Amino acid sequence: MKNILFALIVLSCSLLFSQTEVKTFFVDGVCGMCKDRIEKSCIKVKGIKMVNWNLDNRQIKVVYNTKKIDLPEIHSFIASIGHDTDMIKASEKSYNSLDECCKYRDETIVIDHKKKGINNN
Amino acid sequence: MKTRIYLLNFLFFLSLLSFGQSEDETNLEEVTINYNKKSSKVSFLSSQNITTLSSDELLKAACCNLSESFETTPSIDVNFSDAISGTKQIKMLGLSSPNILISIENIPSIRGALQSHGLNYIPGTWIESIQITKGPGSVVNGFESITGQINAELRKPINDDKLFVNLYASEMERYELNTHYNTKLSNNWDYGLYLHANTKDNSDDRNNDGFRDSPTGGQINIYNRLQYTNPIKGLVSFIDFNFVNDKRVFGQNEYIDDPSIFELPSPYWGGSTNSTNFKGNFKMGYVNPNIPYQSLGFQFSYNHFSEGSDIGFSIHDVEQKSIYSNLVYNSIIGDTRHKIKTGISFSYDNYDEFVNNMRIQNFDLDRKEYSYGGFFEYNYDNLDKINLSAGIRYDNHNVIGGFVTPRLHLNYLIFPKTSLKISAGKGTRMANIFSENHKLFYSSRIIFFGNSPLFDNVWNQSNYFDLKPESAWNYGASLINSFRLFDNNAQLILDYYFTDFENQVVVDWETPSAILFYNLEGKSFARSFQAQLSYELTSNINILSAYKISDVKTDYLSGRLYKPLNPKNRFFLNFAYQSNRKNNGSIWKYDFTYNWIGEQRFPSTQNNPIAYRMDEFTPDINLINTQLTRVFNKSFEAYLGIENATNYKQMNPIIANEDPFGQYFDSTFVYGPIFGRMYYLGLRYRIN
Repeated sequence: MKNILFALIVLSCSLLFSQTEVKTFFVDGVCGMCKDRIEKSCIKVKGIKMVNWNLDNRQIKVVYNTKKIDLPEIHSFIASIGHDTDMIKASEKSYNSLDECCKYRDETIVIDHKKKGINNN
Repeated sequence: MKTRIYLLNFLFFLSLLSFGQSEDETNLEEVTINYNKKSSKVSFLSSQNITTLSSDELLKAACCNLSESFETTPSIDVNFSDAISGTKQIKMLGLSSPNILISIENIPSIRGALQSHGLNYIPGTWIESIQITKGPGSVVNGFESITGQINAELRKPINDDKLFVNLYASEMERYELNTHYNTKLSNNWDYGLYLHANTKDNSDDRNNDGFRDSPTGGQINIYNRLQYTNPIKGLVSFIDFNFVNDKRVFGQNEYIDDPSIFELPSPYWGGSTNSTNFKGNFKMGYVNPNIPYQSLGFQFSYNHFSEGSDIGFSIHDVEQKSIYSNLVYNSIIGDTRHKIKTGISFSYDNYDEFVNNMRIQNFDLDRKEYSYGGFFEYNYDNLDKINLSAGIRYDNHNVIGGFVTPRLHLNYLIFPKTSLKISAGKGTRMANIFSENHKLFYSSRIIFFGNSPLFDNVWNQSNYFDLKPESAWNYGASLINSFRLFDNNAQLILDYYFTDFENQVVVDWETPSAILFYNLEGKSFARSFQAQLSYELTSNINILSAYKISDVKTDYLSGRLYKPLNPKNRFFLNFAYQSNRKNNGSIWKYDFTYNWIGEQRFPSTQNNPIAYRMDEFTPDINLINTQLTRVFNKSFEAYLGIENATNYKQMNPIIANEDPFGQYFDSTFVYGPIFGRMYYLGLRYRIN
């Protein structure tokens, strides 16, 4: 009986004490490696609980704790790893640190990925 | 179209989250993109060693029910339990099915009294996929799994064919009908009605031992599914009702199953088993649509099983009423690299069991077993090399008392294409000796219960209720390596698992004319090694081969012995061909499965008269199954197959077959097929 009570307490605690915010916005990128980089880097940021970046529409969905991080901080973090967001453009320096295939500002690379995408289908 | 895909993804995600043990494979999908989708897949990144069989894999062997679904899966061994009842048993890591937690959509189902024939009540066409977990598995589904878990997902009304009809006929005069009907009732409600009927009339005796090679009889099986789906609110729910009636008649060729002569002792040996099962399930899952890592799952199941068997001189009647319920909450700690599952579960079994053995022994075994407990599972995925899950549960059981079940699984990515899985965990269960060893009634063996100290050569007569609950630790490691060989994909898997029993109800067949049940004193263990190599020869041809070595030993009264009728060595080879799909949708599929099963130890027959003694070991046997499938178009396909193409027949599976009412009669010495070669054919028709 004690254990059931304990489980219920754990359950209700985690449901009650969360200051959780969900936001969806644009993050530029071009391939699966970008997705990997964006998601794996963001999830390690304190306060971010969940990230999912969609390659098709380049929208990111972020779930975060408002007590630990705010939205501008998330935007500037994403820019700092080299990806433009609809609020902040990444610096030349951080953009240049991206792998060659991830250079989303380069038209030819974007078209290249699109072609490959069609071929894969 | 897009919304449909979204919906399917959503459902997939929901079912993963809310109903328990399956690992989150959403990331995994991206890594394992192959040219042709494999029908049998070992999870590469998940912490547990899970093999998933898709419905395509199940079509490779025209399996008629769950017990026959593993013909093309080397991890599972399938064999007959005796020479009369036609019942098939499955084994994993050298241990028989009671040691495996077998669940249907994550509700533990083939357990208790259903151990005897329950696998036959799940028709093959109803199965959408099967997940086989080697090792202890998750704590979410309970404490009972010792050697592994098997979960079967059934067809869902929302994505199954509108209409599906399957007809099957075999040389054994076994006829099967499977139909699925699915319809949309409204935006949120879908309904499915699945029907199965089979009959078997053939009473051939191809090995000339005076007994029918397999029973005659039939089954009616009805499944009603009501599914509620609401992606906006994040809700999914199932309301299911299932009814099965199964009747089998078996025995000597001259035996007639006629109630009007029931009171008279029949001059011929024979009998029948009549089983009925009713099941009602309610399942409900909620996923927070905004925050998909938070979800809640609830399931409730009621099962009423009754089975009456008259077997020769013996009677076994059992009725089991069961309730099972659990509540699972999924969330994260901090971020999605740290996932947790926690919840509570409740289980209740009421058994009403009566045994009359050989008209001289009576056992009335009415008993109630119930337990409730809580569990917590933590999963850490660093999104790079490590995926770990640690689970613990505490249960309070009216017979076992309070006990802890810890389980640990770790996956470590050594190289990008090589992963190592390690697992350790405990399982505890109550044995149901008569349902689990139902084959004992197909012999003249007298039942004994023993008590310690057995090993002073003093036999202390004891009784059923002195048998202790079983518990065991299971440890294992598995190395998965994907590589390219001559420019084609190949995968090598090396598995080693060790199961070590703390307590076990030892089933001792070593004294002819007797079966002894007693608590383990000393050691009982199962070691299993498997090397499996799969190779994609071309994009049309897949080859899967495996070699298994097992070492299963128990300290019996007569000393430490290898478990009887359990092969030490087995080789498996499957060759699968599939032609490219033509524009009209037509495909050819061809499958060839070869099994070599090494010698197996017979239980001792030393004390029998010379005429009734068996060799120490069985011979090794070679078995071939093969099947050709022609898909004509999207809606119609036909298949033709041969089971046991080498026409292997065990000629003398019954000891004292000419004196079935005598004390030496025993049909449990089965190591291979009795019927010989068998042809079958079938049709499938579907409307999407």
